Amino acid sequence: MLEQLLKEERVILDLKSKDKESVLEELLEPLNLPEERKKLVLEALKKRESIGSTGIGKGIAIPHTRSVVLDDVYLVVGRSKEGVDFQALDGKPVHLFFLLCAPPQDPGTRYLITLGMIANIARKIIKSDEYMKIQDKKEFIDYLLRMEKEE
Amino acid sequence: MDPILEILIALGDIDAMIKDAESPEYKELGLTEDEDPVEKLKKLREECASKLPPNILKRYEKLKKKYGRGIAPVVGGICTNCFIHLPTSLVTRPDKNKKLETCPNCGIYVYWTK
Repeated sequence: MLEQLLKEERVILDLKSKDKESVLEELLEPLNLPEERKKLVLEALKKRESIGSTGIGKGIAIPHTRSVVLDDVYLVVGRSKEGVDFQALDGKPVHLFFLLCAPPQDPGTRYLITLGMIANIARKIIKSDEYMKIQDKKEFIDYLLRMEKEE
Repeated sequence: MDPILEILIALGDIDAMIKDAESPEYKELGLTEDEDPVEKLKKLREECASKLPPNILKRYEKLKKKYGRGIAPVVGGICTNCFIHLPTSLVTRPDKNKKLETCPNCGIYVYWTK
């Protein structure tokens, strides 16, 4: 399932943004949504963040939302070398983002299952800083898929 | 975009978030620091719903009671609530989302994704 969602064009290895709102906007860029829809998804993401940051700590955040304006489940992975102030639970800057968004109803509840997979990968990734060293998008995807399978 | 439609979309998104936040699968993920994110979402919902004209809100709530949601995206000309193909005369119209519309079959408020 993760393999189907991870696409090179939806991997950003060098995020430029420095703050919460602009990084969410930057992460939405690869979806190529019309401006009107992008704005509505951004608003939904901000609403979700307003009830508690999805910066789960140790440099990782999983911003996620449902939105009526989406026609499918989308995953964007972004990495920031300098880190972003995302009001994470541990107060530390976030270096790796997994942005997941989906329509209100998705067949097979891919959204919740994928959120679970990402949370699981995140727990394994934080054990080393390998994810900060990879320079190639395909290699990055392979690394995430390896982490998914790793016990 | 129709301004009422924009509020309905926000309301639909919050309702979907509430449904997730209440599900055991989501709770297990531990993605919220807050003990009760549902309460916060319900407050957001209240704020959002108060911006709607009473008749629209009443209809939305009625639809939500019946279908579990009050607004649905139309994808590829198909209403994703009742899965009926909407008439070509509606699908090909250039002013989609410019005014508030409902599915001619199930009556749900619709948002055209394309």
